[in-house]
Amino acid sequence: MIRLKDIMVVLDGSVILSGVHLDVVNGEMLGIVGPNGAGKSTLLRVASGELAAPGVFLDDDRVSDVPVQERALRLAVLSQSSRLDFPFTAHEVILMGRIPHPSSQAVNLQLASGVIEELGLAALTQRVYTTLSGGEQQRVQLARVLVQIWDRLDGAHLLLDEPTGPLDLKHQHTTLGLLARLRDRGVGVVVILHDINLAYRYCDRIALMQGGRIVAEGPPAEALSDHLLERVFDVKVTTVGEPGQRSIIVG
Amino acid sequence: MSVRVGFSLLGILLIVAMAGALVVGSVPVGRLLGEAALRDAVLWDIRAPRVLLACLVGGGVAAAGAAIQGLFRNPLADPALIGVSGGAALAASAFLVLGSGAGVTFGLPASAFVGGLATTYLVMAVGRVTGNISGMLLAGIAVNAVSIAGVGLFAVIADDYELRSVTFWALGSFNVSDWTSVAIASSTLVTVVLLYREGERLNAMTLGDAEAGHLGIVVPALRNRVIAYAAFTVGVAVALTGVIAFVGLIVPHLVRLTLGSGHRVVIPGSALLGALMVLIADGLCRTVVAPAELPVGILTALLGGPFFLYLLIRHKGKLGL
Repeated sequence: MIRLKDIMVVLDGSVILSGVHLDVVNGEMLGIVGPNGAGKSTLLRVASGELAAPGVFLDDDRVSDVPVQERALRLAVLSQSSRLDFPFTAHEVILMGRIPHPSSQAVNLQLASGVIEELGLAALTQRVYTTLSGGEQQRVQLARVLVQIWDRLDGAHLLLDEPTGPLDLKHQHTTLGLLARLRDRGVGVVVILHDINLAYRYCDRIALMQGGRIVAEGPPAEALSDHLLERVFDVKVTTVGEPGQRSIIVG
Repeated sequence: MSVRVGFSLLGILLIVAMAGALVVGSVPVGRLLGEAALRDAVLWDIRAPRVLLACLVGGGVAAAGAAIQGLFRNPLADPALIGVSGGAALAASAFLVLGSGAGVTFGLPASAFVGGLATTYLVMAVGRVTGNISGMLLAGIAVNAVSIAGVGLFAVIADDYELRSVTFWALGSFNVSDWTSVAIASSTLVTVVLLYREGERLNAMTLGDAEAGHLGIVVPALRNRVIAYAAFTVGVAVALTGVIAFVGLIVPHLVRLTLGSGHRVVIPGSALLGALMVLIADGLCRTVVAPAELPVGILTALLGGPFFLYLLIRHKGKLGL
């Protein structure tokens, strides 16, 4: 599990996060939702240990005490924008997810082909990464992150910053459907989402953020209520459909 | 092209080129075969060390360039552009002019190494302040200009014996190759192997500092190691032969275009291709205007400059300028 206890982050004199408490257990999918500048990405960077802050725990160890080599064995992170300017093939990029592991090349190739099949990337693997579209690059990066934990899903953690951003409608749903299946196999998933309906449909629990704080936390029906969304996002929302199958419409 | 075929081809071409470089020169082969004393003098004392030195320096600088490009995630990084070469040249010339002349065998490469390392850290510090790669590259250009001017100043106050000439440092030359130089240069084989061993980690670095960290890489330690190995390799090369322009920039690109981008391929591939290209360049330099000689850096700059312009145009979107 990942545990955040009373997190405070100040960067260049401005408070980015304050008073943040959050637990993510294995077999759970937590969605982080909030307007731009709410501190979502910073929260993820703190949870991953990339940004040092006291009060962050990974399976009962202080995250700062876990050597980065060991952390990489049980925690995989997909950042919002990763730039890669070298002409690697997509397959080479995906295999980079195995860098932390001492496993043999044969095992690595087998794990990679499992992920490639799962994400439907077979047609892209021999293409040069820099020539792929934004959405294709994102799916390759997701495959790289998944292959990092593919052989030890139970007990692993996945932190994803807007994984669906550049994806088309179909791939948004296949990606979140896959994350939900990984959750069922014991992965603790934390995912930042801008699409309220995706968060509503796929996440077990939502942390709604505003101004560096978590203003609501709970099941989607509570944390994404019309009232809270209107307050946090400053827009008018309407909900349609039955409970459990609801869709939220802005305006 | 498959990696195995590419490496085999490079290896064969390199051996052929080395044999060819032993044969070409101002003394014709016919005379060498006839006169044993001349053969020993020309082949053993002059051409053989020169051929080996060209291979070691060309291979080392190209391999260091490949590693630096990966480390800085920038296909335009080059040992000369980020100040390593200029700093090494300045420190080496300072050692020659200000030093007592003792301990040249170790003192010269050691001072070039320290000079290269110091300027690289200076350029990196400026890059961190400006927060982007363009700032770092511009700082490298400034540091390089100051270094070459410093070399010029030393050349003015030195007598010819101490410091052969400014053009030697600025344009590079193999015309003083001897077995001592070869022995010193062979130390860079070790640092090139050490760079090769960082290949996987350099692959991770191309994704970004944060991503490399998430893949279990201790980024600051890796950065320090790679810069130290590259500064040593380039520093030794510069101390022995001056700055040979563009080899560290172009060769890795050619390897990526033909054999792939993984550093376990690019670093050894660049070492082979860099050795081959500098060997050929030096062969041309000592034959086209024979019995005179062109500094090898003139030829590499004449070919490398236009290629660099091509890269600027091709990758304009990735420079962030």
